[in-house]
Amino acid sequence: MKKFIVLFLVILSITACEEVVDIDVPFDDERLVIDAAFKLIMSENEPTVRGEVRLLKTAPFFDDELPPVLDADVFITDLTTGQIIEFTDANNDGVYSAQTEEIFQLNTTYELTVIAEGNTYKASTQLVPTVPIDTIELGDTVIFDEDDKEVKITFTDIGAREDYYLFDFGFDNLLGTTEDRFYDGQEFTFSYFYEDLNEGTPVTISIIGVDKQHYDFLNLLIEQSGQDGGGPFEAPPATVRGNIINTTNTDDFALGYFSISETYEFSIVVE
Amino acid sequence: MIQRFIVFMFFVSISVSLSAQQKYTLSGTVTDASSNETLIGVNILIPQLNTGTVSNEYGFYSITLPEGTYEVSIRYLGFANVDQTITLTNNQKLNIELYESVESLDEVVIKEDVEELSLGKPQMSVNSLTAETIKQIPVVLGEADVIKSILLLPGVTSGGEGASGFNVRGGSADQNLILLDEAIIFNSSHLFGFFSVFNPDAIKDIKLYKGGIPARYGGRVSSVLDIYQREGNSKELKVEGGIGAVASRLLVEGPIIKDKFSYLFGGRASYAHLFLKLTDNDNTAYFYDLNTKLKYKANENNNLYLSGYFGRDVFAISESFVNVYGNSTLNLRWNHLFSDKLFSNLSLIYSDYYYGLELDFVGFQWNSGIRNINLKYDFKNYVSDNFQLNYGINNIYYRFNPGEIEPNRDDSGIVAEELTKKFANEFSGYIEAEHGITDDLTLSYGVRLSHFARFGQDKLNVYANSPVEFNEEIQIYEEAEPIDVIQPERSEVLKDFFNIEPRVALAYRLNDKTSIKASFNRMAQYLHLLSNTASPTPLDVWTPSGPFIEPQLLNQYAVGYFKKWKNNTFSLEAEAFYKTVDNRIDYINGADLIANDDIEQVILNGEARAYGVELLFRKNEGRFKGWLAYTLSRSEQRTPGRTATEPGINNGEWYNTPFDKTHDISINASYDLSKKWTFGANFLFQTGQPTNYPTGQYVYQGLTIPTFGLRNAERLPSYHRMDLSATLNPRKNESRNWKGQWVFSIYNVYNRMNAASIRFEENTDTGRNEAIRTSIFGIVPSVTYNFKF
Repeated sequence: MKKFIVLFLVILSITACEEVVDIDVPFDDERLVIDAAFKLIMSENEPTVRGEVRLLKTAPFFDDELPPVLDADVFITDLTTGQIIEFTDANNDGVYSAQTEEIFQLNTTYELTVIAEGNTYKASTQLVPTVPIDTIELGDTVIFDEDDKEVKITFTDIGAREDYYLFDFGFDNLLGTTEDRFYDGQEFTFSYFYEDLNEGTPVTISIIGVDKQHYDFLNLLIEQSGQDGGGPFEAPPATVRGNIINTTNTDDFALGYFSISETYEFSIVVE
Repeated sequence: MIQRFIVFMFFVSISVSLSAQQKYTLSGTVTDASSNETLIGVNILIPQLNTGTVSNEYGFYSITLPEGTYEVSIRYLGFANVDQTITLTNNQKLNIELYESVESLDEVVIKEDVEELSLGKPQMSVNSLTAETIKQIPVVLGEADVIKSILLLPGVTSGGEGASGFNVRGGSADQNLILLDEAIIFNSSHLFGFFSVFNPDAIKDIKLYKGGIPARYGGRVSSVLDIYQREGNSKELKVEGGIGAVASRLLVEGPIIKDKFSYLFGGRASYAHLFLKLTDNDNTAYFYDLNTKLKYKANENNNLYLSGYFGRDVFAISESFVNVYGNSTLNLRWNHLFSDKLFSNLSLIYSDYYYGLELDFVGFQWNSGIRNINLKYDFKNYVSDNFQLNYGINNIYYRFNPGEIEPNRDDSGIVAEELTKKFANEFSGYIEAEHGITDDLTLSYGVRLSHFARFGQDKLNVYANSPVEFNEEIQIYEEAEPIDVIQPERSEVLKDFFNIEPRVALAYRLNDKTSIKASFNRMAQYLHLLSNTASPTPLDVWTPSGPFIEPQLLNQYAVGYFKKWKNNTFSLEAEAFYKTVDNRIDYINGADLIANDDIEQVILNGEARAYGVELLFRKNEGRFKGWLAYTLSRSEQRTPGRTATEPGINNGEWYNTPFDKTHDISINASYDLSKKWTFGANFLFQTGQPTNYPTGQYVYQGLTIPTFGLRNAERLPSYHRMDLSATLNPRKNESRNWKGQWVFSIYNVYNRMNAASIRFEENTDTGRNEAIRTSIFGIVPSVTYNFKF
């Protein structure tokens, strides 16, 4: 629902004038960031796991580089079996990859442990199920700009279960969230509009299962990442806490999130 | 309790009447001779006794004097003086007709009237503007605007262009009681705040109370904007209108029965496609409003009024997005004189705010609104020349529809859902006295008793503890799961509140030219606009106090120094205020308010405070008129944790509200060069609005995420601009019936790019982070043509 506020901003920006300006911003908050979103890619064959643990630090807003965190101990523990998956940073760039491929199971709690710079960070999660995308069709509705490309995404929600979905529309950072509150158990179609997309571009759209806490977290991140604009209709932003706990010193919390999601992909060529 | 209070009121009124003997009453109505339109705030002075009175909202006045012969002076700016000798040997009716002074003056045209300052009246912190003044102030796109005009007064600010509503003394927009002919208006903006919903042609008088708010008003804690519509000319048919860059207006008024029954019908509509010339789509954005009024003067003692307002905004992007919202009100009033000392008004008011949204690309239709029926009975008892009593009762029944969601077409996957409708009743009674203790000291004291009851509804959540839980582990507030959902009967009172709201004010006249005033008012607000953005959006819904939300309670103290000199040509008003508001709701981080049926799960109870100094220096008469207003103020809020281990919001520390503007300067000036040309100018300066700048950044799943520190710790750049206008009244007007007028205006003359917002994001092309400033209006020239015949 929140997204619709964007429309008001669009209205305003029609008469408005935008300009990049120089602003001095403070920097007083150096923190560890743990980006650990694992996807269980579902297909007709065996599902495969995609994802890694990225460790980095926050930096001043206008810095181009974010410092990676090296030499950390990273592992995931299956709390049911006690089995451990080790992660290593092979390229010394703060990206820690799994040493063994483990297929995550439903109803099993997994715990991520990161030991870095004298602190131990922990987060636990479970595999969140989702549903496949039924179809994706191209549409011709024009809302904002004639050059925008409409894609209509249809999926069927499962009733009697609260579902939260993350959609990844490709291009690295086009994300959207939705919950089944208004279409519980229904076949649901919505439109997404691509800007500046050349004809013939292949696009992969993913539907990713998330839980309520992760959904709330993602909503705020998407809003704050600027995809949702800003201005007089913006709520006061605050640093978004994820599910990671510093067990050594709880006040010195880390940012980021540890999640494991069932994911279905659907590819289409935009004409 | 309430019944006893009513009995008490009548008892007081009778006992006071008995004490007034050996005296006679002079009373009547003051009207404009050209139209029979009643005049508000006319001074009726008895120089011999150094006393006088002022005509009320319906033009009625009454003054009780010892037997004798008196010179009565009637003074009203913009109208010719009337001096009359009367011999008072019994109660006497004196209806006064005033003639506009325009014809009698050769060069200087004095148009302002009620803005004169009354030194001896305890009422402080009030500003009046007439429609005439409002029309002279240069505004964006040449469209005269009530709310844009009051922003030039001290203590009044707004979130800037494109922000709806206004903020008084550091309060939020929903804390303003906006009354149009006594009907409550819930949304004062057209087109998301570019224009206000009031058609200046249909307005007679506006008053803004910022402090010392009289007991007859209640229900909001920041201010009262009381707007009276004109009644219509009962002498002859008159038409006026205007053609502007944004909208056109037409107003017709005239007698149905001469001198007895009049009508007024006004309409205003903006041009479609106003802001949306992007493509050749079927995009449209427009607003319209209709004002109507009928006045029937049954006899000397009875007047009937029927007034109505209907306004809508329509905004559509092709068929995919359709948004309609607006207010409608209908108001039936009966003025009755029980005696020449007891004036009464009975009003029955229906008001409705509707909001609708259709989103075709998700197959979604949304309707919401708030309806209320308001019955008011007010009495003004002019007991003696130094004692006046006002009392009355007021009952409002509310029905809140936070939203009905339904599929907009057959193939839509949307499941119909109705958010829980809420019902409430607000009853209040008040009594207030204006009491001249000595020649120099006047006191006004009163009390308002208010009672608010929330009734049963279809769905009410029950929680084990609080609806908001604190997650100790990751230190965030979270929504609690209800343990049960109950369905209380409509007749059941879920929760009720009772508040005693004392109001006290005094004026002490130091000499003929100077007075000091002080006031205290306590007020309760039972309705809350759920909005966690700096400026309200039409999507925000109102919610009543009830099991989970306490009413807001205000205490405001103000003192002032007032001076007039050179025969009221110059005036100075200096005031200081301090106010606190208890139970100001605040929202947990990440609260989603839209279509949220369990709003109690995302709010915490906080408090607000504001204090400051206001200066208003005016030149009221002459060719060169205008004012300089300066406000130095602070507005803050805090929400501490409920227990020692909870941090609250913003670590429980005070933080700036979005309405905190340290410095606020406005200058308004007009110059009458000749009968033909009048020039106007505005200058505004405001400290930038509090906002949040990122304190750092990181990347998560490819998204660049800013981090933030404490709330509202930074500010946007200062806001300032200058506007100019020139009004041309062609000479040929004098000889003919058709009177045309050209208004040329330039908004933001030096093209200042004022920041409406600054957002921080990654440029998707370069991959670098940027700060992007959005400015709404640069320089905007415009021309409006007004006519009258």
